[in-house]
Amino acid sequence: MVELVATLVILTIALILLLFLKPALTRSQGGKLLAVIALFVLPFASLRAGFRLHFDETKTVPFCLSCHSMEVYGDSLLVAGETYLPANHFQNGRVDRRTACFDCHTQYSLFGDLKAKMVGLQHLYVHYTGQTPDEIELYTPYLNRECMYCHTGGRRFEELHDHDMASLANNEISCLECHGGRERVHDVENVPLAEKWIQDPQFRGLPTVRELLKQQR
Amino acid sequence: MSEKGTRWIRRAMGLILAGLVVELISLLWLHHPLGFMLFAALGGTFIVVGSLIAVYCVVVLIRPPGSESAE
Repeated sequence: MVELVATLVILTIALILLLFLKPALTRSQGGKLLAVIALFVLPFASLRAGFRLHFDETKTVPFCLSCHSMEVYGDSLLVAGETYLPANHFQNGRVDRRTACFDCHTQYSLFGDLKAKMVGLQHLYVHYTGQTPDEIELYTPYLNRECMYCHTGGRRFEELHDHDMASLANNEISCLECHGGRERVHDVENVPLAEKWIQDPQFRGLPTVRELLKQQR
Repeated sequence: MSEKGTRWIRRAMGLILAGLVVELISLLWLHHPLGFMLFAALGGTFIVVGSLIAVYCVVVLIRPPGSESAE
């Protein structure tokens, strides 16, 4: 995808340079059509493709972990404990490993992805103005909606536990009160010393967080 | 096309070119938030403004053939 967008951009640059250096080309009908394509169609196509590429990339784990303050949260995905919520989801393929952070921390509502990205802009401002707090907390409480988006209708969710759906839907009870603990979901204080799950290299080719971090584009 | 129109078209081309170069550079920085900001804030702005100037040139500044001799 990156190569495709780069090719499109380079092609557009080449065409515009051609028109810049040889404006006489635009005297003919074909030249005028070329000018329209080079100055309107291709630039907007490049813009659209580039925006799509960048926007999709903002959902990936390497993107989230590019800020130093988030590295320990990435490491929390490797903790070996079975009851450890983020690690449990990541290691068992319950979220897409490439977009593990975003899958839980987006908002599953109308324009939820866009709202999540606006919150990301806030993170960016806080980070680059040196206001990152020592203890990082969510700006707003984690809503059950984000858990229930995936879990509602699942057999384990429906059969094994007596969930009060009304209370969950209204956020009267948080899923995290029973699963993970509201205050300690990532438990970053204990992550550095916690036992880590070492992924079997033959494990169906799914990437580890470290491999995702190493990806060079 | 008048000299004014030619000048403005060249400026539009320059802006669009600058925006595309910024976009190309931002592709090297795909995993970083500043890459996205560079693309969105700078590259996108240059391309949009350049295209709007080009539209202005085509619609307002470029006269149909024969209109100059008639005047």
